[in-house]
Amino acid sequence: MAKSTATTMSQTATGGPRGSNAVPMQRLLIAIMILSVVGLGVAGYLTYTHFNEGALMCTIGGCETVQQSQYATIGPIPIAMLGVGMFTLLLGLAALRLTNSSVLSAEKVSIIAWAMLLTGILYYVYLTYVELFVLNAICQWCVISSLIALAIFSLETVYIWRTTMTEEALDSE
Amino acid sequence: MAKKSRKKRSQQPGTERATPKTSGTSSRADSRRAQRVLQERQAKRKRIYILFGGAAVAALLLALVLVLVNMDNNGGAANEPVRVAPEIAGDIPREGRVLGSPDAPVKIVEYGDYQCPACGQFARDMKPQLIEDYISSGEVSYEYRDFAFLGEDSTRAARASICAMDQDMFWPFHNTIFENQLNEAAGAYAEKRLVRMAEELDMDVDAFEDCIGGSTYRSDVTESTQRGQAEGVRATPTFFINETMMEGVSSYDALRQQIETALQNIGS
Repeated sequence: MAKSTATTMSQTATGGPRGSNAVPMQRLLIAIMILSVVGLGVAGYLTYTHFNEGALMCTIGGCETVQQSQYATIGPIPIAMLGVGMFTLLLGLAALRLTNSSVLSAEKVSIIAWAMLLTGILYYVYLTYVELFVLNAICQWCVISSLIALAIFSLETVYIWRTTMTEEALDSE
Repeated sequence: MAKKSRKKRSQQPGTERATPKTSGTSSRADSRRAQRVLQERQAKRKRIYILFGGAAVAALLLALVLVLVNMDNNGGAANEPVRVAPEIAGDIPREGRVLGSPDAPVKIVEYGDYQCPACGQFARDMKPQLIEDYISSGEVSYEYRDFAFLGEDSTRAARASICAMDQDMFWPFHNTIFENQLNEAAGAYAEKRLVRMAEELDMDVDAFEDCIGGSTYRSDVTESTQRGQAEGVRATPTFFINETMMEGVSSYDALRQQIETALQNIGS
C-alpha cells in the first residue's frame, strides 16, 4: 500500500495525469493537438493569402473584403498571424502536458492555454461582429478558425476540470 | 492502513457527520480527518477559482486591448492633419466624374490611383492649368476613373470619392484626397481621416460614414480597375486623349502637345 501511495505521489509531482484518469486525459491532449494542427493550417493559409491575394479560395461571403479591410491587421501584423501564434502555442502547451515535461506545472500550463483561448474567443466575437455589421461580409475560413478555437476551448475546460476540480485531483497533492 | 484509506475515499462532501459513531476515539479521529480533507478540498477549490478568475480577467483585458488597437488602426498617419483642396476656379460644368462640357471635342480620361504620387502631382499641379487653358473654354473634358491597384487605402479612397459623389461632392472630395496624399500604404486614407476630410468639406458626415464604413461601392472600384486593365492600363496615371494612350505625364507641356495634336486632328 505504501509503495502504491508513493507511486501516485511521484506521478502527481510531475504534473501528469493519474491512475484511471490517465488514458482519457491523454486522449484529450491528443485531440487538442490535432485540432491545433488543423487550426494552424487554416490560420497559416489566411496569413499566406493576406500577402498573396490571388491565392484565396472563397465560395461564399467575401473573404477578400474581410482580408483586405483595415480590420484585418494590427499595425503591420495580419490578425491571421496572431492565429498562427495561438495555435502554435496551444500545440506546444498540449505537448508539454502530454510528455509530463517539468518546465512548468501542468496546472500553470493549463491556465495559460485556457486564458489564451479565452482571449482568442473574445477577439473572434469582436471580429465576427465587425464582419457581419461593419464590413457586411463573412470570411468562412475565419469562421472555421474560430470554431476550431471554440472546440479546443471546450476540451481544455474539460481537461482542467478533470485535472483540478475532481475529488481525485483535489486529494492528489 | 488499507481500511482507513478505503474509508477516506468513500467519504463524500457533507456526509462525514452522518457517519455512524461506532466507537469513541477512532470515530472522533476519523471525523477530524474527514473534516480536514474537506477543508483542504475547499481551500484548493477556492485557490483554483481565484486562479481561473484572475486568468479570465487577464484574458478579458488583453482581448479589450486587441480590440481597441484594431479599432484605432493605421495609427499615426490617420491622425495627420487634413487640408481642403482649393476650389476649382470658374464655373465649369461637371457631371459625376466628368469635368467640362460633355460636347468637348477632346475627351481626356485618366486612370488613376489615389496613392500614386504622380497622379497626385498631376491633380495638384497640372490639372488647374488644364482647366484654365482647355476645359473652361469647352475644348476639353476630363474624366477621372479609378484604377485602384496600390492596396486597400487606394480602394477605400476610391470608394470614399463615390460616397462623396452621392452628395454631389465628387470633385471637391477628389481634389482633397490628392491634397492629403502621404506615402503609399502609410494609412493616409484610413477611414477616420477620410471622415475628417468629409467634415472639413461640410458634407453630411453621418451619410458618408455609413457609406464608407461598409463595403459600399467596392465592386464599382473593382469593375473600374478591371475596365482599365481591359483597355491596356498597366500603370497610373494613364491618360486617354481621345483614343491616344499616354502613360504618365512628365510635364504639362507634354500633355499640351497631345491635346493640340488631338485638336488639330479634329479640325482637319
